[in-house]
Amino acid sequence: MTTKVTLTSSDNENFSVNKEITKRSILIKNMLEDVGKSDTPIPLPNVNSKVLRKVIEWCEYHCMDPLAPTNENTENQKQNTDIEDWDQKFIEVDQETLFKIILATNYLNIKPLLDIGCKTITNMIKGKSPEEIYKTFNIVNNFTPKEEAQIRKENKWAEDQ
Amino acid sequence: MATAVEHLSLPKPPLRKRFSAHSLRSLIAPLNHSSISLPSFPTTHATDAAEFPVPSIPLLHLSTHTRKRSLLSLRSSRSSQPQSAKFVTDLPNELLVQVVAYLDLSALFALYNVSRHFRSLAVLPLVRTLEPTKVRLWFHQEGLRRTFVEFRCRAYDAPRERLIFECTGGSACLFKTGVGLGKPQLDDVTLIAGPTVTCPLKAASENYLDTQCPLRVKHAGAKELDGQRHSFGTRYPWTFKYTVEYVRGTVKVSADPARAAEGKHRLLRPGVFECSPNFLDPKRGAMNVAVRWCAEKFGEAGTITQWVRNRGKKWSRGKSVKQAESGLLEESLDVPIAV
Repeated sequence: MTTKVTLTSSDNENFSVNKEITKRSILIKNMLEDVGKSDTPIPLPNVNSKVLRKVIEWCEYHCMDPLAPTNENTENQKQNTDIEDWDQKFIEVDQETLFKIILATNYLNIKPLLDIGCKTITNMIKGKSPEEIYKTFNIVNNFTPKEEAQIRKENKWAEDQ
Repeated sequence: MATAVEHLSLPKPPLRKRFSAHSLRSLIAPLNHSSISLPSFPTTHATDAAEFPVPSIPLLHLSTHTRKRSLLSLRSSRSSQPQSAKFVTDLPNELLVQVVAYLDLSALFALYNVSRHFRSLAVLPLVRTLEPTKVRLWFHQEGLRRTFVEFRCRAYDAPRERLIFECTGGSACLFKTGVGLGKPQLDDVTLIAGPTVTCPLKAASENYLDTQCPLRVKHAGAKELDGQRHSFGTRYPWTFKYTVEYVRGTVKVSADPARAAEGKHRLLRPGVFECSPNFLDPKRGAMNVAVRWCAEKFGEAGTITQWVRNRGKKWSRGKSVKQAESGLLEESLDVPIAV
């Protein structure tokens, strides 16, 4: 018989989740180990219900995946920004939700999902000019007029490319 | 409790006693990934260091403006407050560093020009990627020789936003002066991509120089070539510092100007090459000189520019570089000097 764990989001919504699934999160895994057997709901004050639902959905789909090794920082893996099809569809959300998922996975310490989030942002940046990056992310250009003039001069060749 | 933040932590840089607490904080705080430090660069020849003292700035020292902003925007992901992020800039720096780590060189160059915040994030991986890259300066004296000298990235001067390249191997080039002989010229600037570079840089590495730059070698002494004078209107700040010595054959002679005419040989000792990171953007390097000139003159989207672009490689000066590499060039000279 599988045991269930109750997770409470920041907006006080409870989620009853299989214990094994919650162990994808190192934070929750450690909490469960520290607390031992207890039916007390685990409060997650940094994650709202919408985001927590998405994170649980991802954990449920990937519950059978082997746990990723901690030292994955090789150059090849860093350069590889490919995302699996299911994950690609899963992460197709608006930017605000994407950023919230990233923050939540960082808080919950779910590295594979954090990597997917970061890769998604990376893929949004790749192949774009600075102007396109401004537009994509609504970034305010905070260069001083002098600096901006210098950048424009230096990159004049790339305009409208 | 282990969190994902720990995956990003890297060994901290060695602290030097001469840093005050303030300067140390300013060096460390901006990126919240202070621990990423460049590997120590190989020391150069004592003579080079004496002639071209590289400013004793700490690597990647960031400007005050960046520092203030970064400190303000710093946000701990371990906060117990509910986290919200409407914009990408709302993400904590440690996560943005992870995003930037996935970017290739072209994207890093684009991000470098987005905003001060992103510049501060992109500059470290950018410099780290360029660090194993060699810049090759080609010198040409008509009828005499075509040779090159290689430079390796030594530091990034953040206040001036310049990459500082230092000559490797103490190479020197021998030229001649005299009637009928043209001035030696800086002919091309090419890049030799390092093994970690997995971007179009390898394919690009054509020529980053807009026009040929004459070198002053008639008189001995320290010289500086200002690249802003040799660009198509667009100013890519770069400088090349070198010294000229009088030599007779392979023997160094007196630097006395009165005796300069005795020998026609001049030894050019390359010192430091400095440039704005944008100067080395591989996208720019991939464009041939004619397109660059037209883009400057008539605008990038101009009809003439497009026509020239469509002409393709016919206009490329990179061809001469390839010819030289295929065997028509003389190797870089290591001239022994007897003083």
